[in-house]
Amino acid sequence: MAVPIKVLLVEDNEADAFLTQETLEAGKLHVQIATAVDGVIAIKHLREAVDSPDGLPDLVLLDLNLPRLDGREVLKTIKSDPALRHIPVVMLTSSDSERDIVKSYQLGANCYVTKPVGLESFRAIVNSIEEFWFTVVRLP
Amino acid sequence: MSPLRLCLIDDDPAELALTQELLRQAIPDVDIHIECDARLALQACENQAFDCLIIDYNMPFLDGLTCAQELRGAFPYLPIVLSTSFGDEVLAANALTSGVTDYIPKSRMTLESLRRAVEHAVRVTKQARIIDEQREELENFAYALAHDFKQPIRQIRTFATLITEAIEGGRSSDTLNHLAFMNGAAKRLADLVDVMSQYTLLGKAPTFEAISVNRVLDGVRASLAPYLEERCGRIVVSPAPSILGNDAMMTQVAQNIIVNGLKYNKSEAPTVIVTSYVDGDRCVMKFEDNGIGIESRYIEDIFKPLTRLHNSSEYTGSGLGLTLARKAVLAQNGEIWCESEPGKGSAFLVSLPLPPAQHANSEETEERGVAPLTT
Repeated sequence: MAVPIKVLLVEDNEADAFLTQETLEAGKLHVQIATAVDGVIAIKHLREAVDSPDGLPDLVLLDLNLPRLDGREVLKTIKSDPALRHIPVVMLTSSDSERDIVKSYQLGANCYVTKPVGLESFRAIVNSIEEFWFTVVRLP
Repeated sequence: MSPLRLCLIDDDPAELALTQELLRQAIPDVDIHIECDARLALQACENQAFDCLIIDYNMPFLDGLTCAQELRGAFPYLPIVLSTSFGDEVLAANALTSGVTDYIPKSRMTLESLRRAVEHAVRVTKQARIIDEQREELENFAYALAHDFKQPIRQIRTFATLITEAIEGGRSSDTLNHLAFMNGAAKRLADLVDVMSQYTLLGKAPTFEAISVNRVLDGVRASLAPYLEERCGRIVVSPAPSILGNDAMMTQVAQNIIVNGLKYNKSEAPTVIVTSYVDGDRCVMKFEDNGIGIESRYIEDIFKPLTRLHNSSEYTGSGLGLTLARKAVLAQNGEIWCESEPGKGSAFLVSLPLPPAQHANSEETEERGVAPLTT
């Protein structure tokens, strides 16, 4: 069996987490998804993963507006930590505000994706994330 | 009331003395700081907060206008009055677009004109500050709201599509789950619309009158009766003075704070205790709960729109209750702040003006060494 792609999904909204998880799992690749409902839990998960046998995730899907520690702070923390900064972080958020996009890239986001309104578009976006980032991640 | 703090900058000792004397006569309660060199003005303003700066234009080394421009960059809300000699009026008029709030020709400097210039500068600057703060608040609110509206709209459409696909495909195992998500999203939308209309109403100029705090709190307790019963909660209220405010706004403030205290609460008997005391010409109300408390690093964030400290599966909420409470308090010329410790509950303090008659009464009783009356 193929080694699963490990994804950390940081999303506080239960419905959005469900949708993203379902869409990822219905995709072509075998994925193993861990979820964190706020920024503090996300950072804790990543720091614990550094020394764990399972290792770090291959990709972080990160919402912007999170309780306790918001997505911008999580992104900044990941990209400033030598043990974590190599992990691709894809912002997956409802916000299409220019200031959020610019700020995210300034903080080191590898990609910024606005969640589209329609389900088909959402599936297409998640599939393109899978195809591009998981393939890139897997390159020798 | 504290004295008006002025900074007077002029290199001419005679002019300085004259202006200083005029100011003392024009404005009864005033503290005047003097500088003879405009180059020292920036440091002076950094060392002490002034209510207004009066600066002469014609000075060596650094003229008053250039100094005013530098100060404006560092202190955007510092009222600056430029005093000019005869013949500089055209320049002075241009100065109004360069950071100067008002100007006064020295040839026409009298008690009255000086007082009016200072008062005008202070008033205009205060209004500009309020407008800027309101605009920034509105922009932040609109941004947060736009984001929060998109999410439930997207979810309703997405889950509707999923349900349609399931029905068409003859699969129904997840339909109830999807419908529950849709319902949650629709409720969220409805809550946001409610909050938006409340926020809009708070932007209108309120009418003020003497309000019985106890009557307001009794009303809030009555409206929350079902919720109190459901949570086995209590609201305990001590006798409180009246305040000068708006009934609907005060009700919203009390309700939003009390609901927060009962909601973010793991106690078997969630309780909010409301006490009040008089502090000078203000009534300070303290809403203390036995809830989960708030970490100090989030104490300022809790009043920002759509800021949540907990995910929605743990505690539901619009993230706007305290934003609205703060807006309502500020609209009544009040202040609101929070003291809290995780695990030890929170205290929200609201300071509002006393009605004039009650303030006079409390001053009189304080002079006689008697505790202020409460009604």
